[in-house]
Amino acid sequence: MTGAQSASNAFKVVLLGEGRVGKTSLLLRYVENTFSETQTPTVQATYLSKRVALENDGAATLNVWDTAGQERFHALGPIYYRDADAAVLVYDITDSDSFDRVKSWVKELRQIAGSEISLAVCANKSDLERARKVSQSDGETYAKSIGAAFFSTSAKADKGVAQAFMSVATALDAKRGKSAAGGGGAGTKTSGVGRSRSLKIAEEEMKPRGGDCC
Amino acid sequence: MSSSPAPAVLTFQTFLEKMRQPSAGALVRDVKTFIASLDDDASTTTTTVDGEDDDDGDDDAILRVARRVQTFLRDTEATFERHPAWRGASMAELDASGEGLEKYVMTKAHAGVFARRREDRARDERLAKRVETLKKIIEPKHLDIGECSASWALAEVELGKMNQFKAPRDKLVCVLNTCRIINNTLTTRQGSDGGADDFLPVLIYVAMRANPGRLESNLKYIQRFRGESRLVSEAAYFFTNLVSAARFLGRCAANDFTNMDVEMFERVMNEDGVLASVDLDEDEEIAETPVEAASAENPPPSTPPPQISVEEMSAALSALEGGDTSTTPREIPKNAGGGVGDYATDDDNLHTPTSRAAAPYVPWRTTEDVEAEGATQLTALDVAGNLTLSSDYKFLYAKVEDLTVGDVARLLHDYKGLALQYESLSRG
Repeated sequence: MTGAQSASNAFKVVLLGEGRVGKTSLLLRYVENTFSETQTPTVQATYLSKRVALENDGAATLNVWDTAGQERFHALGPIYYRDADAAVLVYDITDSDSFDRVKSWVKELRQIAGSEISLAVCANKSDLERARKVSQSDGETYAKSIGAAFFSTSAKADKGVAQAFMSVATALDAKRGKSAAGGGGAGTKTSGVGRSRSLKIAEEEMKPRGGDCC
Repeated sequence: MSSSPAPAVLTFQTFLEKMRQPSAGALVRDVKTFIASLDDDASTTTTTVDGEDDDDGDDDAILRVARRVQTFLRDTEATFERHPAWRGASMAELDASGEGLEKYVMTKAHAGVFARRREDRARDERLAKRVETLKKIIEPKHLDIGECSASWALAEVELGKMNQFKAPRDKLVCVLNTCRIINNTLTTRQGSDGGADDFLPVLIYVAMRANPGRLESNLKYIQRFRGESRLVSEAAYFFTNLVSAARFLGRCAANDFTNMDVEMFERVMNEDGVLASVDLDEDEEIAETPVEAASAENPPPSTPPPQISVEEMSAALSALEGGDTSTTPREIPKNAGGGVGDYATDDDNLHTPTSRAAAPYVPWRTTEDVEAEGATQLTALDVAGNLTLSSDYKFLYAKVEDLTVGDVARLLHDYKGLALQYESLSRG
């Protein structure tokens, strides 16, 4: 399956996040932006395939898979992310449990999908600053420790959503270009995800913190 | 390459027309030789299937067959592109020919590879039995499903059709139709954003209600034998969700549900002997086989392939044509009410509804056509809140425990009516 996707520079991106953190809203926001002029009627919100024009004049196709975030489906995660190129992990800044949940997913992702998978962390609902429970710096520090790009997003206020997906696309494209070119330098600017990502995952951050890991 | 199954009728006829051309003679021979070689492989598995400890070996044999089929389909499809019989063919025709080839090969190979292992059949039965018990216990509220839709009965029917088809594509279309019907009801529903948080519980519920036989074997068969270049994008997404639903049904425990009476759950499951989870094998990757290795596995036959006359070939193909084009599931468009244009920004998208609506090459309307259209209309009505079937169909939403012995006469009468109506429609 993964082999066939490479033909059109297509990437599989899974959206992971607890129920009600706004994964689907992010996805919908991303779709709506594409079609703001055409006023699409109903949009399917579970799967999105989007062609993204990159800054280096290239293009990539993101196949974005929404996943069910309820705890009862947690064990099914690997079925979805096993062969993913990237995972976008979403938490709600007003809900620290959802942040812990992201951490437990990352541990699993590393175990099952290895270090090849690119990661991006979205601190969603940034419009609800007054109810914030997870500080911006906690989010950023954590993202950095796992080699993930970090984005402060608000589906409601349309902040950071397009940038997050664009960054994922750029990073994946650069990575694929690099592996195709046998490790040659990729010239494009990637916002943290691409080149630094696959290197070291700070092991000290991997020790149990949340406790809700399976 | 489009991941979209081409319209069914175009698919098979394009393939057959091309294969009937005299210049395709060698290709037809190759296809037949390949199928015959699969039979040999299958008979190898038959000899081991009764052995006590050969199940693993047998599984390996099927994976080997799957790799050979995948390689053959890919190589032959590549041949089409530069073959004289396809000169000037459009991408759609090439794609249709590839689909036709897959269907032809897999219709022949089905018996040798589908649910071959005794272990597969036993596991299918255990899963079906477990799901049958879950049906007695699980209600929508246990999965936090707020509002039910009458369309889900149609989704169940679609899923149940999987076993009527032999070609991986046709089975997959049943899965996609099921998912689309569910999606159509969710995207417009209040209090739902229509995302995976809402979708998966409903798919699980529908899969449980439908409880299609041999679910796990069907999933494995699709995964192994659907052309790799075609099980991508949206098709892969929905397919994966059904894999996920099956896994959940095989393993779920009382605490996986909201407000479940644990004692009752475990008692009922225990009574039926299905409390333990059904171990579904981790789905194996079909490893990318380097071309050299693949051709080494599939050596050219030592004897020259039998010469087949053009007449023989045509006769064989005609026989096949008559039997199969009418038994292809129709695809249900994405949006109720024939909505178009959704997010079709890339050419990887599945099934653009417009191409179906136009469908000038469909020579007749099969029962499936009529049903798919009707299903779309029903979904639209349901979404708009205008669907009231309960007065005409008293038992449509009934549960087993709602029924009394007195209902049997009415049910039997209705059943006979429906059966005759369906048969008349099919032949009309």
